[in-house]
This record gives sequence, structure tokens and C-alpha cells, in this order.
Amino acid sequence: MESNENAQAELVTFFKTLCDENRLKIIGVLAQQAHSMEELVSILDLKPVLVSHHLSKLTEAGLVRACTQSGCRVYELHTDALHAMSKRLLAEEARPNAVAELTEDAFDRKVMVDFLGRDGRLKAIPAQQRKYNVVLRRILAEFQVGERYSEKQVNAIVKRFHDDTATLRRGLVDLGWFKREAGIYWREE
Amino acid sequence: MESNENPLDELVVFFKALADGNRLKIVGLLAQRPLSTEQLAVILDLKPATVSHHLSKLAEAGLVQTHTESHYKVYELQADALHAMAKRLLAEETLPDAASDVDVDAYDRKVVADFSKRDGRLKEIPAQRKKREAVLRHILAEFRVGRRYSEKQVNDVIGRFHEDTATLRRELVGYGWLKREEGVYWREE
Repeated sequence: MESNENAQAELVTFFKTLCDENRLKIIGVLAQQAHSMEELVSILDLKPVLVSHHLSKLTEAGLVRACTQSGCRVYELHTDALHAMSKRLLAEEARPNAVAELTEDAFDRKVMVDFLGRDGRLKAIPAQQRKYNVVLRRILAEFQVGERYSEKQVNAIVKRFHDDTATLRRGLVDLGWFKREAGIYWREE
Repeated sequence: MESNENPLDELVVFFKALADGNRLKIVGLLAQRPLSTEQLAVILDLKPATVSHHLSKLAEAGLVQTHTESHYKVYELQADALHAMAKRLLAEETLPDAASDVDVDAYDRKVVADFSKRDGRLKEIPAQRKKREAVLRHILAEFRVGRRYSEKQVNDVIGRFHEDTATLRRELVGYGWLKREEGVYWREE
């Protein structure tokens, strides 16, 4: 889910930008009025390089922008960006409830949430093929490509998820993601 | 979150908690339903110790709460805390809170100090607009709101700072900080 990942990376950058005391102070000061670099240096009692570093971080995150006020370069708070981001944070949190918009990634997560017990093991093996595949894919991820496993080793790994190792092992082989030859198993690809 | 904390620290802790991709994913999952560390570890394919670390960061910021359910610690999203913080971010009037301990007059004081002689009179009128404004605000503070001044009285007050009373008087009127009508001056607001 590339767009999902991008959106998340953007949120992480946004929060990273805000988790600094001096940057929060700059936002607070600029919320009252636009200021020049020089003014911010005096107001915050910081070195000019530091103020300029913080301003560039804030500008990158779209929270602050530079403009010219009667011949003077000043920085102003881009409140729209701040509002948009805050709203997105709330939307992000609400998104999983909107089942209609579920991405494949979110579907997988939802299946896992539904089928895992508190101990992190499967409560049941899903009857529906699409959900069964999700579970099998997750189990498959425990196996390393290139490594060879005995049946005993396969069972030990599958057992971390569910006691019915025979069914799940067969399921992995049936999907063709897991190869077997002369009692040796390996992950393809 | 402890309420006796400095509001700035509180915000930093909150943003730090969210400035991580895995923690954002955990918030998204917990928005669906409460989950145990074991469940989150399997769903996100992370080590339980890593999940525990992230959960403790989220708990510190007041974003998750825990209860015990048949031997398993189950984490619940504190949606209220998330909404309250996002609203605080949205509310422009509370933003300056972040700068409550910041001295916004520091720049003016520095400029006035730079341009003043020992006796408090100006060495010169600053040519740069931002600096000139700082000096004008300093002079304006000598005028009492509500009181009316004749031009002579205005000149007497300004004359304490600099002999070029005409220039400074015109500037004060130009900025709208001093009002004039029929030869009478007063400070607005």
C-alpha cells in the first residue's frame, strides 16, 4: 500500500517536527504574529544557526512559510497546514472503521485481529479461503527463504500459531508457497 | 499524563509518542479494538519486547491504557486523549500557550538598548524598519491611553528621546499608534 505508507511517513515527519521544545515555542510565537529571523533570535535567546535550523525543519513540514512584509523577510505560521494535519490524524484513527475503504493491507490486519487470541495464537483456522490465505501468509513469514526445514522443524514453527499443525502445513504446501521433497520443506522465491 | 507538568513538555511527549511509524500502526490497530502485546507482535511481525517498548511510550503520552484479561495485558486506545490533543492543536488561540514562558519583548529591548545612550536618549533613529518600529513602540509606551496631548506635549515626550520630534511624531501617527484630530493627539486602544 504505497500511498498508505507515504501518508504515514508524512505523519511521522509532521510529529517529528513538532516534538521539539524550541520548535513548539517558535510555533507559539508565530501564532501571534509573523517575525523576522532576527526577532526570533532575540525572543527565543537562541543562536541564529539554531533558529535557522528549526525554521527550515518547520518549513519542510509545511508548518511555517517565509514571506516578505514591506521589504523584510518574515516567517509566518501556515495555520492551514496545521489544521489539515490535525484533521488527518483524526481521520487516520477513524479509517479502520470504514470497512468499505479497506485496503488489502488493512484487510490482512483485520483478519489477524479477528482470529488471534490474547496469547497471539490463532483462536480458530478461518473457514473462508481469503481469510485462510491471510493467516497462512503470516505463518509463511516465519520461514526464511533459502533455508531447509525438517517436518519436525516446520511443525514446531506452525505450532506457535495453532495446534493443528498438519492442516496448516498442508495448507502452506497446497498454496505452492511451500515446497516439499523427500521430507524436506523450503520456502520458494 | 500528569497535569502538573509544563504544557510544553506534555506536547513534546505527545508528539514524540506519535513520531514513529510502528506506533502509528499500533494506534490504528487499537482504534479497531483492544489488543494484547502478543497479538500486536504477531500482527505487526515485531518482537514482543519491541511492542512493549512502543506501548510504554504511548502509555506515557496518555494515548493507551491497560487492563488485565485472563493473564494477558490488554491495551486500549484512549481516543479521548487523542481527540483532546488534536483539538488543542486546532485551536489557534491556545497555540500561543506553547510560548507562554517566552519573552516576546526581548527583541524590542535589545534594539532599544543598542540604540540608546547611557542617559536613555537615542543615539540615532534606526534606518531599518523593524528596528525603527521597536524604538517607536518604546516611545509610545510613554503615552497614556485615554489621555489627550497637544502637539507641544507630544513633542516634549518625544524630545526626551530624540530632537527630531517631527519625524518620530509623524511615524507614530503613520503606524496608527498615535491618533491625531484637529491638533490633538491620543494613544488608541
